[in-house]
Amino acid sequence: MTLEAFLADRNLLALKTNSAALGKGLFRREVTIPLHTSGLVFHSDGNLALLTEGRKVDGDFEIVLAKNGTIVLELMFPDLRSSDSFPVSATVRIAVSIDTRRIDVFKDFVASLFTFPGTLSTRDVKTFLAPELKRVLSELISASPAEQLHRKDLSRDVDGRLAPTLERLFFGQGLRYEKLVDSSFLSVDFESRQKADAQRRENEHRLSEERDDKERQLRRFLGFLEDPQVKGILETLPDDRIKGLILAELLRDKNASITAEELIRKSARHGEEVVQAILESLQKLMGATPVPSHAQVVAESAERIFVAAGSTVYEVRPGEPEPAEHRFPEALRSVRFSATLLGGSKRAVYVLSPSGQVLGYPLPGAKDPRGGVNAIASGGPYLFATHSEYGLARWRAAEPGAPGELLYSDLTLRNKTTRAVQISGDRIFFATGSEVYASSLHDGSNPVRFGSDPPSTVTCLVVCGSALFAGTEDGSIWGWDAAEPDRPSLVARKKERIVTLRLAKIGGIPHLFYSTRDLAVRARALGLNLEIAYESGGASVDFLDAASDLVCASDSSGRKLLVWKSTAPARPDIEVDIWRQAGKPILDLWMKKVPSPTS
Amino acid sequence: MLDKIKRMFGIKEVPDVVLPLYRGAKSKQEALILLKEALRRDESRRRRAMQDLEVFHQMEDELLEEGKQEMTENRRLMLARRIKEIRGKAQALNNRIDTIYNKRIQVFTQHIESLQTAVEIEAEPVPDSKTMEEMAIQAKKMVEDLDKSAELAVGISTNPENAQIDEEEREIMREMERRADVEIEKEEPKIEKEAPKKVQEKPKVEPKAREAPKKVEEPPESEIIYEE
Amino acid sequence: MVNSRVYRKAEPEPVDRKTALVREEGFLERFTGNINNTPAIFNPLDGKFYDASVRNRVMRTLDDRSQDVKVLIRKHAERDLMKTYEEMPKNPGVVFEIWHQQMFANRQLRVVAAAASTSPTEEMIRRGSSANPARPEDLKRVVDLVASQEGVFYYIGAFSTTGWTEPCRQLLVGGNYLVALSDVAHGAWRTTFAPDARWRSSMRLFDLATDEEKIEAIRAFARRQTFALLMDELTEDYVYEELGYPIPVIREAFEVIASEDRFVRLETAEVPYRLIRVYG
Repeated sequence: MTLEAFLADRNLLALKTNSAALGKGLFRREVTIPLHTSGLVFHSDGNLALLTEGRKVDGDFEIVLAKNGTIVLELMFPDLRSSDSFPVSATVRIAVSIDTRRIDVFKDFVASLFTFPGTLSTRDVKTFLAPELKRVLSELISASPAEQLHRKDLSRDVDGRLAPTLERLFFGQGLRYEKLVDSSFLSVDFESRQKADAQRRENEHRLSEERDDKERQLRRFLGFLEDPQVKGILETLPDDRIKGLILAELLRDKNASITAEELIRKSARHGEEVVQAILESLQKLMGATPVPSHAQVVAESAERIFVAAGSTVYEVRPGEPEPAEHRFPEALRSVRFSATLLGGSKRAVYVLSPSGQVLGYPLPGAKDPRGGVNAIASGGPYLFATHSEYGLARWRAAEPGAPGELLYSDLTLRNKTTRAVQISGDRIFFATGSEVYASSLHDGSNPVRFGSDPPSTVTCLVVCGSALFAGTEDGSIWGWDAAEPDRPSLVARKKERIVTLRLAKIGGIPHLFYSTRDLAVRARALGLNLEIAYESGGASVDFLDAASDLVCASDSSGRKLLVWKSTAPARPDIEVDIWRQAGKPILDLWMKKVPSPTS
Repeated sequence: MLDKIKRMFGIKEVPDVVLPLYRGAKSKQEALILLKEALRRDESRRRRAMQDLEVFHQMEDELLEEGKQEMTENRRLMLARRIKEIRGKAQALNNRIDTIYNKRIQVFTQHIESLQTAVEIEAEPVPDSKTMEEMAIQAKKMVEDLDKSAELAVGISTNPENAQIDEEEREIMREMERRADVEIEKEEPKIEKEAPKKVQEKPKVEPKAREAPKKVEEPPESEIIYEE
Repeated sequence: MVNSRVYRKAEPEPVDRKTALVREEGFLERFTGNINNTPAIFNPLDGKFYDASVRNRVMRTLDDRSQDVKVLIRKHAERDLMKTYEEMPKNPGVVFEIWHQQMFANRQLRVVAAAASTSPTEEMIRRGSSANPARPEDLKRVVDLVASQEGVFYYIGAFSTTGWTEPCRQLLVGGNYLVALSDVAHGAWRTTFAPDARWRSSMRLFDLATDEEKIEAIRAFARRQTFALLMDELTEDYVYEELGYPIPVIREAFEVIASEDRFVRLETAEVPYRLIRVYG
């Protein structure tokens, strides 16, 4: 490396050479220290000299030439982490210089940093600096969240930390820290998150505005319903469908005003299509909660109510004072009616045949479980049952006594609970853990998973046609369109676990009934933010079932069966003291329904 | 000249301090000059002597302080002797100031004031330069003679130190002890007896009558344990 | 007259870093100046004088003890390390080797004149100043550093920026070395020599002050000794004990003082001469 090349290269800071390499002429080796440099001269007799620019030196010597003035170094550290774990990239530019003012300090530079022949470059200095610089910046960054770092000017703080650190680092090394030129901190992940949050807030704001708008429309709609003139006119109309038609028209037209002549003029269409039209309009106002189609939730009337208490199923018929009793071989945990009366016990499913014979279908294995069969379904030639300690079991109805077969063990064994088996159409649905599965009734193909987010253990399930709803331990009610298992919708969120879910049509509108062990059974009009509370009069309610005309529930102590008229939610119409007869608590109930005449 | 002075001051004899000056002066103005010069010199001497006195006092204080802290008898004796020596010199200097400088300055001042007035009033013509020069030379010689006399008069005899402790040294050592005692007394804190505090009796608390526990209905037994 | 003079223990004044550095640099500068003005140096081992001109003289610095200072600064200083280092005395040392070229033989080292400074480094770093004088082990360290060869005679000037303890005066003489103990006392350069005939004229190497400076130092000293003056104790012996200057220089200074101050007179009736107070 020639002297000229060294001086011209901005990246080179110091050069080691000797009189032989630098000297001119045969006999005299005299060198002038170049401009803007200083030289530390090691004479052959052992003496040392510091020479500034313009001074001459001759004889035999080794020399270290160092450039005077400030050098700016830029260092980047891309892999630091903020206190909230965002990756942060830090870039600092610092000004340093080689301290050539004193001979002993210049000597330190040569002895510690420039220990190799040739040249010392900016890269060598950066390599020396980098570990300590990184440590300081890492401490600074890890103590703050990304919000306080990303694109913030922290020069004062950085300089405050760097100055004493670099002073100590440079001491004895022949370097001097001049100042921090600038620093910057960037977190791409944080920036993305910010943008996403901003987008989300914007969406929420937009949705909120839309909701407000819909609410205003709904209030307007309700206002119509409360309007004395509208009420008066509606009461005069004999046909509910006409009423629905008029209301639908009102909903569609925001600016419509109401007169009697208009009401009569608009009464042109009939049928439940009018009500459905209202419902659909309202649902469009309120949002996209999946709703079973009109044809799938039919209006039904309650024929009988079966109540399982101990090893007896009590059959309560509206209008009859005393319930009938059906005895089973052992205590029952669940009861269903599907052509015949079905009861689920600890280790078996029992079927009460029309002739009065009780047929048993045992669960496989010799376990002594703590719980019992929590749901039973009958479809085709099979009987199905769910038991949390067994999973999903299946029997051939024609083969009583044979132990059941456990299905989908790979799914059920990894969860603590398996519940709520039911059949809808040609599909079987059941819940295990926090997931709901649906599978074909016939071919045992891989079940389709319906999951929620965040997941919570499913406690109950109701399926109707194209929609299914699940209640969870954390008080959520999720709904899916059966064709879109990956798109759950949150129907409601309560503070307590959901005990039971049922679907029934009340006033022509499908309602989702649920209980959370509070003091009422609640019925939410699907697609609407409207609920009816069937008040228990002070007792918390547990299991429930509902039809279009009646709603029934057991109290949490399991002593009583409460029955309401669907149109009179204020208090139970009937209370049946099961405990008085059974001496055992109600562990399940089931309503046998028949299609309503109006459906 | 002397007669004029006597008449002017209304005195029979001129004080010895100023006599040589008047004898050497041919006129009042000349006398005034000589007097002022003599006053200035004596004031300068007195000033220097008082500064030196201050040095003696300061050193005496320091040595007394040191003696207060010294534990060994020998060392304290040495300090006492030193202080005695210092006091002796200080006393001599004090005497010098009182008996020589203060007196002379007082006399010079009086005569200067009076002569000043007289000169101003009379405004006598100034003698010729030759006369004044002769007067100045004589005055100077007289002043020097006067100083030597004063020194001879004031001389202090220095007797050899007695190896035995004398009363003054003993007194100085007692003074050191007293200073030390005063310091110790100042440092002792006062301890006051605190009045005993009254112990408050705790108020009697009667136990509340326990309420009869309410009967709680036990839940019905179940043969099947619910799933959690 | 029994001398009742009480020798009070003087509390040493703390010396701050900057002052120590100035003293140390001044010491080496004066020593180097003295070397340059010395044409020849006596070698007591063979009784000969050797040419001390540049031609026969090699200057070396002693092992860099500034590294020790840096280590201590790094250990004790929390900030401003370089500033502290720049202010600190660095215990430098310089050695002048006097070589002699013999006929038909190589050059040989004959005599060495060396000077080294020492300071209480750690305390100066931590507190900024120190009043601790150097101890015999500090002096021994300097001597061991310099006097490394047999057959060579060493004149060693040992300087302490904060003075020397009394026992150091017992270590000034060796088989092949003599030590001149230097410090600053009463604001003046002071050098103590052990009485040894081998010194000869080499004492001049460590005579750090010119005569004019000595006289000025004595005048300054006398100005601060009013009490001694009043007690007739400001004698040339006293000044020699405190400043180490030769008696003739002290007498010359006394004459100057007496001529300048009409309240001071030089009493020469008996030896030692002294300055006394007069009011005439």
